[in-house]
Amino acid sequence: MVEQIIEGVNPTRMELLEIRKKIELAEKGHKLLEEKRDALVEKFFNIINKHHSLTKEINQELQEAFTSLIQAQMILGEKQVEEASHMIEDIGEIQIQEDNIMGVKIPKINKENIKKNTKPLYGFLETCAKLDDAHKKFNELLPKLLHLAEVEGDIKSLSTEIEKTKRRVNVLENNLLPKLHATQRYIEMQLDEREREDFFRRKRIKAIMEAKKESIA
Amino acid sequence: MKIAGICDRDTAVGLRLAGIQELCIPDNNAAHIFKELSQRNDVGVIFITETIADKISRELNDFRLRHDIPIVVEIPDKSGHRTDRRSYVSYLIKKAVGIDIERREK
Repeated sequence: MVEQIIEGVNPTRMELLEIRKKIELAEKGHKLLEEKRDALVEKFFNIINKHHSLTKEINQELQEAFTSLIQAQMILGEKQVEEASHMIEDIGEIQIQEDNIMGVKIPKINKENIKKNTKPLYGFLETCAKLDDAHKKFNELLPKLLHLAEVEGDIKSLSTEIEKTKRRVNVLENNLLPKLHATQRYIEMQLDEREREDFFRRKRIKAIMEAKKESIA
Repeated sequence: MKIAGICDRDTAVGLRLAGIQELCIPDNNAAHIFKELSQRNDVGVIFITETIADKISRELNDFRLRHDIPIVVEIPDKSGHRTDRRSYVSYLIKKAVGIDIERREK
């Protein structure tokens, strides 16, 4: 790739100073963004691990809960179970708040209003113990499912932030900084060239003047 | 905010036992149901079974890229966790880090 310089700069000493300042700033910013990116990725991996173990747990427990449910269905019949399932207390509502990790906004689920143990309202007569089992297992599973929802929200917010930071780091690294360096070199070369010209001109004039002096004398 | 679910009949019974009341059982109109549910602003979390999520994956991903709330969570149904599909989380990981991350049990 041909090195590109920033267009419209005059090769003057003032511009050179300006560019040097800009390079310093860009390098500082680049370093900071890089650090931010690394920290975010580390956090991200932690959350991924959490997510992984949580899904494993949930998959297993959900499987157990479904086994109980299916057994209940076998004993009572699907219709009976479905009717009984309508007679469960509502679990209440959640609140979604905002939290932040390193300036990234993440959703946080407030589970305070969730009722822990909802009492079944169905009677003993038409139901069996397996249904109670299923009810208990699903009920215990719910906080975990909400936790999973929270973790997935975290993963989403963090991944978008990582992407953004990565893009910024790349722009600085591959576009802006090379351009600035090239411009700096260009101006320096121009200034050197001008100095050489001046130097030569002065020598030349001096020689001419001395020749004149001699011819007069 | 409420918790809602889009799932098949058996999962619905299970979630209802857990105390969730807002449950939809779609037959071929999952995309429509999801759209309606996601536009309500009193729903905070939507649980959706993997099988249904597969059917409306395009709408689902479109929505999730643009919105944070409601949080959509995929859960396995009674036939167990499906390993043949790519989950949204692994897609996000790949997008953020650039590589697939898979953890194997020792």
